[in-house]
Amino acid sequence: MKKKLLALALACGMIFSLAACGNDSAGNNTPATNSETPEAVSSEAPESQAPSYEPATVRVAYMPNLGSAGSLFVGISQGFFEEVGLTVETFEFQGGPAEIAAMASGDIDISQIGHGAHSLCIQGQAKIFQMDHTTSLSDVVVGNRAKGIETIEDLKGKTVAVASGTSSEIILQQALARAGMTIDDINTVEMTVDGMTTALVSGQIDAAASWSPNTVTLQNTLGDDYVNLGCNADFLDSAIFPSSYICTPQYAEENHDILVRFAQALDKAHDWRAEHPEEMAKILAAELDAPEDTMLQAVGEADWYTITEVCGDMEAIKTVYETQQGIFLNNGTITEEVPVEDYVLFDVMQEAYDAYAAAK
Amino acid sequence: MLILVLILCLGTAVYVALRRRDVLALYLLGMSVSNLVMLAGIVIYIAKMGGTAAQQRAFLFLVPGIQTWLQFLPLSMDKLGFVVAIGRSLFPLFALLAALETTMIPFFRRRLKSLRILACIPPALWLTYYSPAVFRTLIGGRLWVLPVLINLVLAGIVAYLAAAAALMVLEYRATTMPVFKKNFRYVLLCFLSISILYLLYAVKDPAQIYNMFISEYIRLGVTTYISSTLPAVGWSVLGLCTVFFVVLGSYNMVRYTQISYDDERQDMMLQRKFDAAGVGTSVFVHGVKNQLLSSRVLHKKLSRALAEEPPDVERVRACAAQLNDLNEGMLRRMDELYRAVKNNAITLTPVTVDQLALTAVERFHGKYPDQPVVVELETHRLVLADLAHLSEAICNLLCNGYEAAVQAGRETPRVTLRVRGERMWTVVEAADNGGGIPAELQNKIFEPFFTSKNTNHNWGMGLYYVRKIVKSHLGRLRLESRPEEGTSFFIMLPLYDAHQKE
Repeated sequence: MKKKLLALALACGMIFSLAACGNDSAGNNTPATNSETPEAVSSEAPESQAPSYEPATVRVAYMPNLGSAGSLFVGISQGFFEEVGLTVETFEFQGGPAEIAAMASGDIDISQIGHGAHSLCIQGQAKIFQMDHTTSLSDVVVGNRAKGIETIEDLKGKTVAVASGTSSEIILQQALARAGMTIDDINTVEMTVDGMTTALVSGQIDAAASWSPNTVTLQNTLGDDYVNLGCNADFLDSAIFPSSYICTPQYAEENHDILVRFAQALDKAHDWRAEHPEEMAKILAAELDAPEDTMLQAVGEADWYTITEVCGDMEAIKTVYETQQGIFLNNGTITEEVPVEDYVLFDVMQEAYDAYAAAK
Repeated sequence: MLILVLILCLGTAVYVALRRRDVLALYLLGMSVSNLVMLAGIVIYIAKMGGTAAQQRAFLFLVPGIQTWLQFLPLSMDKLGFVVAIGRSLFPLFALLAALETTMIPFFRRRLKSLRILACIPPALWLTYYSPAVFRTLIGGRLWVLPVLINLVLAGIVAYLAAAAALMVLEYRATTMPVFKKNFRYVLLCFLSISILYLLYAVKDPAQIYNMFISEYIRLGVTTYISSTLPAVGWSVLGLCTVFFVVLGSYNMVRYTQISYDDERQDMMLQRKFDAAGVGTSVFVHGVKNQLLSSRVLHKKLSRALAEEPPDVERVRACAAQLNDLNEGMLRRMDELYRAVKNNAITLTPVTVDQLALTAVERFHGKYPDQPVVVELETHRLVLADLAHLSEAICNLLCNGYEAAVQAGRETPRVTLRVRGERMWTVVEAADNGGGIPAELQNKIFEPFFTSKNTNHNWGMGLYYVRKIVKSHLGRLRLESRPEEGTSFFIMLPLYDAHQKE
């Protein structure tokens, strides 16, 4: 616990203390990385201002919400991927675990996952090569007042829909734990996030561990019956909910250069996103064929800013992932602690950041 | 597109169910419905989860609106996964039951009932294993069980389908009669096409839908429903194949339906024709009345001849001879009608086919003394038959055949009588080298009072009588005819003793 809080303080402190993501400070904080890999970039970068890249195509999985698809579609629409010679093919999924399964079977190269699916990375199923944002604010445990739900305690013995392995499941666990309850005190039913939206509105279930933009839909549909029983913001004093871009260990080994370029484009997209959150919402509404109002209402579903501050600080990023692992250890999702370096490719992040900073 | 294919499947299944009421059709329907249930579940799952498979929107959902609708269906993954497991587990069961239904291998035939019960046990176990609560309890904490059971169930499914396919192919190969073979080909093709479509998805484990033990599924590399197993071109090919198979399967099932449907309809039709017995009776009465009138004229002539002094012996003799002919003719007709109507009382006794063939040929020689009949006996089985009636029926076919050959102007009119064992039937074939029967007449010739020959000598009761006799032997009458080559009539009698060795 103490370690966690310390880590959080570090992470949060970083946000305010760092004036900017300086080139130097990033270099100083870099943990030991592969010595042979930076060569490629360092030799490329000084050569010219617009280095030429070998064209490559990457298949990327996303989930249809701002937090997951934001940086990806900003990167595509603003041509950031094109700049580094990457053509991006996008594939829509409804959950991180499904994305990882698709990567394992070779259908997908890269996935954007919410914090829930990070447990699969810790278990060795995938490697993280770029952080997408430091904390998500999109998950909400929504109760239906019409079914007599006012507080988290009212959920005892009630039916709650949940999608296993997703971020909202973690929030549900956290909310229950805070009320001194566990998942065994409620009656869970496994549903996809869209399915639980319909089920909650039609009264088939009492509550749902949902996320944006379905939470926006629920808010609009349920009106006064919408009860927020717990969301990411409630737990930020003791927890953090990052999201990341990941790939399989094998892909990482064979395509180091592509990952660096991809991460570099994302760094640029993060900056653009932090400056134009509403425009991002509009881009996504068009790309995902979703109502623009809903997307604009969901614009606060993640912390868009902090990542632009800490992107070059590998220590800060490491702290975030360590804190996150603590949450999984605490709630029993994983049973043994794993060094963060085992599943986070800090070298890729660092090289990408260096290249981006050099190009700026 | 898949939506359309599924709708087509369902429509066909319902149509076949309405048309047919036999067990085999029921099992084929079971296969279709199981497949439909499994595929529908998977399509809903793909709609909900997205992924690379969902990219094939047109193929899976036809229009994006359907995908959105499915996506928001408030279904729990437990229910959805179990529905897929039900379809996946029942399909092989129905396939095996269908195959057992068609097989005529005595070993299986004798144990049909216990085999059916036995076949139900593994699918019942699979379904127990896949019921979400049992699955969670069984695998929780014992992750090593998961790959074992995934492969065990898959092996079971493959074994079921292989056994069913083997039984059906064996049966198809063992069938030598063209009519049977053709009939069976449709059933076999239908079976194979549905099975291929089924297998494309059945190799994936339905428990993945429950979303339990996610990490283990990923670690094992279990193929997911949401990942397209085929490249883009493969999807298009699969789409086309699916449509082709389903259309073929549907067509075959409907054809299969129609064959027996026609059979039943013909029975009904004949029944109605003969039930309108007034027609037959009036034809008969009319014919007999004509002859009685002729007889009255002859009687008058006879009386006049006798009234002369002295009586005209020559004319009396001539009249007597004519009267005798008339009388014989009327008796013959009476006999024919009696035979056709009063054949309910037949006595079935075990008769060797040799005996049956001999008696039939003797009867034929009674009518055409000098005409040879080629007799080929491939079996010496016993059949359960009324020797007098059945040999008369066979004789009838032989006579028809001979007459047809003569009518066609053959230099050597040839009639052949073949008897052979055919799976569960003993088949008596009467073949000729006549001119063949035109297709449009093939359904008519079994009607009563139908004849293509001179009506003074023929009453058109022959084939109706034959058919009736064959039916009363619980047999079937089929015909195959090639224009200008000849006609074969097949009397198919049920095997008297399944235990008896060839």
